[in-house]
Amino acid sequence: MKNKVLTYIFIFIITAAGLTAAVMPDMDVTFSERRPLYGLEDLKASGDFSKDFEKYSLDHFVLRDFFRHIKAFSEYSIFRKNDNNGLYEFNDFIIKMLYPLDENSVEKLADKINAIYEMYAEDNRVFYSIIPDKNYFVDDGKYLTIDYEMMESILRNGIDSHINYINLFSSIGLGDYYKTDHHFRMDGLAGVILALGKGMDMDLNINGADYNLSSHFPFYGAYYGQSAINIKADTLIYLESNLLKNCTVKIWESFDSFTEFKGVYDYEKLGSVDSYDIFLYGTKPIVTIENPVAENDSELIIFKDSFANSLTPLLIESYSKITLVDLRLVNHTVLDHFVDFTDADILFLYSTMIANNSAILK
Amino acid sequence: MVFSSISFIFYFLPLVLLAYFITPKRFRNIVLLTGSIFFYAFGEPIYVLLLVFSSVIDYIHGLMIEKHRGTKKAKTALISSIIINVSLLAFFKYADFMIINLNDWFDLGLKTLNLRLPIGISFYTFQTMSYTIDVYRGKASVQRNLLKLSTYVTLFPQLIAGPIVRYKDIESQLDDTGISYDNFAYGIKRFITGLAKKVLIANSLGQLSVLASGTQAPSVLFYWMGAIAFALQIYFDFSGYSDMAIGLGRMFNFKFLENFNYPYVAKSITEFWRRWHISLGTWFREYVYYPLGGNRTGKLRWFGNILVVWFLTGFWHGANWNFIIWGLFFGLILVFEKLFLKKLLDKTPAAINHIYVVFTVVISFVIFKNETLADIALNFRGMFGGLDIPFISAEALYYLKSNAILLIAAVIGATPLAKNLYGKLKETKFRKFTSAAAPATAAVLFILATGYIVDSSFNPFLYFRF
Repeated sequence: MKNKVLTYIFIFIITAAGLTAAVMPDMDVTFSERRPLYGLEDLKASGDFSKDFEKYSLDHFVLRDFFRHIKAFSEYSIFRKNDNNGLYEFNDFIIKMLYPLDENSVEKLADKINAIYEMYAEDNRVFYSIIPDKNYFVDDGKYLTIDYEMMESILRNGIDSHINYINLFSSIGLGDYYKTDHHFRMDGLAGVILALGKGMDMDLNINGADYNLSSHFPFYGAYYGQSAINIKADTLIYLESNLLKNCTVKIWESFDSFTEFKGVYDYEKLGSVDSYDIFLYGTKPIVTIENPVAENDSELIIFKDSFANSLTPLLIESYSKITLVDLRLVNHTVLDHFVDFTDADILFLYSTMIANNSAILK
Repeated sequence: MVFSSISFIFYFLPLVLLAYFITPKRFRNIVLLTGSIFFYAFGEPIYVLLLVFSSVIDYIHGLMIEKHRGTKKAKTALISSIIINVSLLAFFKYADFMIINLNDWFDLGLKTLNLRLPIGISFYTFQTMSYTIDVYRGKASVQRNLLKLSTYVTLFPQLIAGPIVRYKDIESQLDDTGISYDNFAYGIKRFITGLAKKVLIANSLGQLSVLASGTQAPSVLFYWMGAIAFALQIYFDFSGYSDMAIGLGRMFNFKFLENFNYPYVAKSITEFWRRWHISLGTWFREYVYYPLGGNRTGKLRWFGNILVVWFLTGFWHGANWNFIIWGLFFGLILVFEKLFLKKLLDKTPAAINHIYVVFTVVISFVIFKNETLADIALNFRGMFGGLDIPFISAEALYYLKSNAILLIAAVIGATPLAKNLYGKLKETKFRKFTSAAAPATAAVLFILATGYIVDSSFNPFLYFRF
């Protein structure tokens, strides 16, 4: 009798789970993992149906997040692993291990910076800087970290001596980052702004500027879903001012067409899959921000990753125009069609994560 | 479709089980055959024809052997069956290996075929050969029902990664299509045990092994960790798969023979191979070793027979030189054991014997894992201090600490400790507790395994390439 019951329970469970997954409407995206889910349309266009059907089934499995939590619980609490999928929790911060150091990638970043400098900017003031990832601040010896000094050293040795290095490593701390995301918080950037100002010989300072602190809760950072552990959501911080509301933001779609917005924030992105996209309308290849009340003609061009999106609004007060170039989305060889380099200051501002994975830069 | 996938566990399996349960007894083999063909075609739509071809060919050859029993024609039919099966295997699995080597040796410039290896071909060709050989030998009756023989050949629980089920072992079970709840319940527990071994242990060990291979900061410790993790991974991967196959077989009332019996507790390599991939060892013993004369010949011939069998065993595992070397490595050790080592091992303490077995097997899997001689040499040099690398690195230490419980669990799980403990508990006043604990443990393992599957999107079985 016991075995009969066991038999029918087993068949019921696997049937019910499969059936529920099959009849439940498909979600387009997973908010916890911040990515689009593999959909039926993808499956229809699939070249390898059996493999992709599994991908589809995994993405739409019933109680998917619950099961991912179970796995994370098992890894951390049963097997007592230090990390789960490379993520670990340190003082309530979810941190992704950046390891090992890819020296070749760092050298290639140096080469890329040199190539752009030689192609466009030999007559400009050019600077470069590296934003540390959260792993840098964990010094308890328990987790693997790259040799950040080595990374700096490779860049310093590889990058043309006319391009000046601005050290940001000591200008920011772990508390200045989101707990569930890899990005830093906008209200934690005073030190970074000061260091950049000092390095570029500009009067950059946000302490005393007329900013109002606004916030959005809940903000589920990139690691929130990836880690699949029970942790409180973050509060997204953004600083507002009249100037930032009145800046003109142009998102370039081609050589001669762009979409224009008023203000540096896209409030519609709050509560979306990635609320961090509020800053400068998310990840775009080329964006210009114009200061309507600029007191001078100074311009800045920033070659950047997503970290700069929350940093740049704090720089605009000192410039008439800032151009952001994301080389992950646009090839550096076509930049002269979009960007006027004349007399502009140029800043290469990349996170250590990009430096260690520079192959994604075009 | 692999067993440890959502598509299999939550879509395919319930459909087949429901169809099997509601279908009248006499039609249940049709359900199994249809399900098995769908199972195979889902991943290999073209090669399903090969599977059907193999079934039909061996069905015809079986009939011919039976019809001409006692005459030369029966032998001709048997040889024809063997030639066809071996040719299928040779063409799809070994052709490119031959071409590459012929080109290397004679500079022929032949083009490789680049054929995709049909999943499970190494298993089902051996099964179909066992059928015709056993019919010829009179150890199995000829199957006059093509449906039943095809069900045997295509039976999805053992189709793609074994165990290699000989026809004679399940001949009578093909007629018993009833439902046994005892068998089914055992099948559930066995399937979940295998699933947990594969998903919770083997896959995690696999990640550790990959990390050790790909490190930029090699150390002696990391080389050893990689080698040990791989040796354990391959055990949990393959024995886990065999458990799932045996469990699934039981759900449909088939009793497949055991394929693993805690090989790492063996005290000699001879014993190890009686406990590891038992169905393959049995197959080679019955259909190659004994026909060659086995040990009933002169010593030289005997050892020659052993080396032939182990050359073939290695080659069966993969069309590459490292597999041949791996097979011959074991062949030579088995010869040494028969020559003098066995006597020595009988006198040494059990602990020393275990160390000898584990050390030898770990070394053998370094050969098994690395496809080129250069990689094999590099790994051995790394393990034995032949490289200018530190003994320990921060990375190796990190992963050792992080995976300590996994490794301990794997080492304990590779022994019959838990099984023996469970057996002893069943004889005590905790008997009631153990009978409740078994399904509860299975339920927890099933939830955990599902969590691991959902969290990963790539989950191939190591033995798929064979």
